[in-house]
Amino acid sequence: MTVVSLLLLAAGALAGGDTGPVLGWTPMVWASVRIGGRDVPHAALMVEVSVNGLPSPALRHLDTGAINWVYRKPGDAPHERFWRGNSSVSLDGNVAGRPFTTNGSTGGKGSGPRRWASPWWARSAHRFSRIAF
Amino acid sequence: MVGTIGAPFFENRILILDFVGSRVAILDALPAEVERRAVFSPLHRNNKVFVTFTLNGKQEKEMVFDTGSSAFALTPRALDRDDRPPEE
Repeated sequence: MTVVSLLLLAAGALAGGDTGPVLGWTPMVWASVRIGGRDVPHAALMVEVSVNGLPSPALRHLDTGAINWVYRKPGDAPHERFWRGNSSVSLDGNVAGRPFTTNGSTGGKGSGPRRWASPWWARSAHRFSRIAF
Repeated sequence: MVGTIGAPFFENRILILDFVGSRVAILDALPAEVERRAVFSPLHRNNKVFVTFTLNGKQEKEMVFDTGSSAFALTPRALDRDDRPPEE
């Protein structure tokens, strides 16, 4: 069994009086969507990442209930539609100072046929200038 | 291109979610100051991350900690189910 450490901090737990090492914080934001006529203000937790080759930060979905995914949107793709997990899709960068590499092999469907996907949180991608990169 | 950072990324790492400060940190070791001041709850991983919690002071359950499903509510029917897969 693999152990993952997860720490949820109560309000103020890290505020003031810290004498320990400075933590390398990275911004996270809530993405909102409108689904079925209902506004969902806390629809997706997005974290700022640096992607190799890109001059500015991007946002990526932080989902502890999922595996690592990369979605690619071809130029001629229909609105809000993405290719999911293909070996031709790869992404390198870092988040909170930790390097990541995501490609077809970690997407779970790398060797299979291309599949259309429409991640529901990506439906609002156009509302976040930094989410699409 | 858009993407998801999932649970595998945090294996053998420490993830700190500071919802108050809207920030996240990823560590290899827990600073002593944080360890002294934080309250921990046990968790284990079996394909997904499970945390133990108590509901209304009487029901202790293990639930999936899924930061990607915040749009969906916890229902009494869901509470009665135990979909946790067997231990590996």
